[in-house]
Amino acid sequence: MVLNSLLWPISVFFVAYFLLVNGSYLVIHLVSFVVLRQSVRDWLLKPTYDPYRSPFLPGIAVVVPAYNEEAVIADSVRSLLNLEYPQVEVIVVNDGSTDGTLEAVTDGFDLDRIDAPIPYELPCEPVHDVYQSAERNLVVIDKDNGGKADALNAGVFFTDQPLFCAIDADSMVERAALLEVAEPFLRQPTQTIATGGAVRVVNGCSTSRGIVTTVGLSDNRLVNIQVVEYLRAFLSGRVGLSGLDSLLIISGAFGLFRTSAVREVGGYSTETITEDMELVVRLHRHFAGTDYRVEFVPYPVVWTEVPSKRTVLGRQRMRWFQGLLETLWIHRSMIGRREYGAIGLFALPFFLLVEALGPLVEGLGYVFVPAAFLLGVLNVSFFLLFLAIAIGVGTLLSWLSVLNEVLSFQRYRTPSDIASLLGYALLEHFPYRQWKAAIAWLALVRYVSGNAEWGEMVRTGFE
Amino acid sequence: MTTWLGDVGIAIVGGCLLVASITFLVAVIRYSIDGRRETIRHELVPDLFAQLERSTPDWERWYETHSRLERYVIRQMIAQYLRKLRGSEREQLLELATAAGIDDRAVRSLESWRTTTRLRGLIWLTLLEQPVSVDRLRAASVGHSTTRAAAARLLLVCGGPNATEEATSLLLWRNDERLSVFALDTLYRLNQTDASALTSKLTAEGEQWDEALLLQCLLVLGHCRLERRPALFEWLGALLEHDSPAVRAATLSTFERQGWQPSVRQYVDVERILSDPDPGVRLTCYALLGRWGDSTSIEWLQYAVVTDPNDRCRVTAARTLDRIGASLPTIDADAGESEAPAHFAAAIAWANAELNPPRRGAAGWS
Repeated sequence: MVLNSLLWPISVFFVAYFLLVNGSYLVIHLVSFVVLRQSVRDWLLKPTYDPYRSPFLPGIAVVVPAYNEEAVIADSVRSLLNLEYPQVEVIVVNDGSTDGTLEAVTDGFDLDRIDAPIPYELPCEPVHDVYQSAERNLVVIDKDNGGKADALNAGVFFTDQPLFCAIDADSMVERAALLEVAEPFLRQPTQTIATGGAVRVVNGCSTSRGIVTTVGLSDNRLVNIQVVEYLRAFLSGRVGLSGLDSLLIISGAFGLFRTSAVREVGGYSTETITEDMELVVRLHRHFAGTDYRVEFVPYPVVWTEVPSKRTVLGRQRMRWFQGLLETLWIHRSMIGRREYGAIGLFALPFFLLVEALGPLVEGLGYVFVPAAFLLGVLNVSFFLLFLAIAIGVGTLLSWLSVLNEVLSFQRYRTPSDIASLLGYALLEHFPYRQWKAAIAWLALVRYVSGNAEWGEMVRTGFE
Repeated sequence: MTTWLGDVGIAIVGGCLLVASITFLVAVIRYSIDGRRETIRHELVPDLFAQLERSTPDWERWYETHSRLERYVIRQMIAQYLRKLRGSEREQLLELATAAGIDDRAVRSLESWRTTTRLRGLIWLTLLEQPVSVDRLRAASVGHSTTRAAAARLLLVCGGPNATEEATSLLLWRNDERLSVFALDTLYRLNQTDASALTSKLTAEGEQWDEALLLQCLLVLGHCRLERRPALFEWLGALLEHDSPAVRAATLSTFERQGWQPSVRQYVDVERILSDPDPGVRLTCYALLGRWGDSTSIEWLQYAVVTDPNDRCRVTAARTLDRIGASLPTIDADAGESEAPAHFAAAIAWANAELNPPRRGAAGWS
């Protein structure tokens, strides 16, 4: 009797929550559709001029934190020095590597040590030396290990360039990407403080000399499910959130920032595990009430290798989820507050109720439903219908992202790849979603118990 | 409840099937068309260049002999090669464009109610360098910033009486709308050698403009040649007291490139700017002094190396002196352990030791 009386409010809660989550996603997807169509108009103008020759482009420092990246760092630097942008300074921060990362750059690019101490203070672990190339715009800062955020801070506080781009040492930046990701800074010179580009999955693609030559899917099912996730996150999620002035994440793999703005907020936090999201939220907090913009630009692309093994992916996702919880907790006082505009009233509540609580509520469902069935209180027909709708809506959202890809960028071009992506969007529902819900609960437990290890990303290298 | 949910479920399944069908169908169509276009293109390129080499090719007949898809590829090739080819080959391509009816269609598209169609028309006319009357351009473009910028570009490539003034006016049509990167580039190329069109607008209306638009125009002006008009430099000099440090820095960069005229330097109160509270303004000032490079400028730079309260500014001043081959201040041995000499000594040591001092991108950004 008690159980039956509880059943109704529990059902109402799940249905209401389901409507909230999917309603929000649907709004974001629809906004992304409109925004992507609008940006096509700007593309039409490209044939009539050469933006690369514009004399107004602000200088950009590309900051590459490197910890034990001996195998990839030389190729990465070579590819960064060849980016199509007139004023790029590449700053590699060797974060106390124990392998030959430092020598790979200093010997490979003929760098010399600057025989003088840095004349200003860098808020990071002690710096041993700075190396510089006499011919190229390349600097290496060799410092004690302090983590990625600490290494980024060394570069951010060292450079004299007005903008800096944070990228991962093992990512491949498309040659014109800097030019495109810098455009909002030219369009809105006083407002723009940060922009981010899209991150795509390189596993399965062919590459040559740091350039992706053929785009394709991997043979690994787990990787291809992540391709669908990345399409959903970047082509729909971030485009839509940016259109709603609600962008909270600029990927650590590829983001462009106004150097002075990041210095003004104290640089990256070394206390958080997802320093990229925390920085963007802190920028929103600091500049609230002023005329500023944080924008996502969907066409510049950086290619990154995603985990192909479940254990590695589990560690990565656990870290991301812990970082999300941590950032929301640090900035909890912004949630629902009108003075933070769309960030306080929509973005943060969305991330709290949908992105953070979503997988946890879903996880609860996987426990309660079988329990209710065993206790004989489950309305089986209602549940099956509800489940079918949930899968249907999830599939619809993923397929809309694939449609966005087909109508706009067409990186995946062959019908077989598109059909596969549609198929992987279905496969995602079982058992991947259930596994992710379990990871979210584990991450919550780890976060509450104060365990915040990074976890190692095992890379198999580019094909 | 279950019935209602059933209806919702059917609607969602229908939606899913619709989206999947559209996605797959579009992917198949695009892939197939792209593949055919690519094949056709490979076949047509040698034929096109063979025709270009002939003295009087019959373009109309040649164009008519091709299928609809082939004609589409030919139009794409015209657009691509019009940007690359010059001289007689370009003339031939223009004749082919006429034979293909591209010019007529582009002019007609200016009447379209659709912004994108008008924009495509303007882009074609720009590639063809085909002039259109200013009245017609205005009618086709004023409604949207993208079409205004495209119309200004058309005026830029076609030239004609008052083209620079008309095009600058189209770009700066609204005083609260910032310029796109394309519009910025167009504004620069219009005013590069003679910025009187831009400076007239600036001095007449600049004070009412949105700050970001004012900043964009100053960034452009910094790369243009200015006429020697005292009123202009007085107006710019007044901007050095603007509330926004970005505007002050961008204004200084306009003086930087005009400093070869000694008469211009009187409008810049260096002493006051060196005490500007914003480091970005002082950094731009050091670049300006380095460009001017006269003995007074060098003395100001030497003074800045020792007195600027900001570490980065001191280093920039020292780097500037080093770059122009001027002597850096010497450290007084009697200064003892005080903090100030240690600071400027560090700046000087760094400037001396650097192998490749970083160049800053365009000024006015930070």
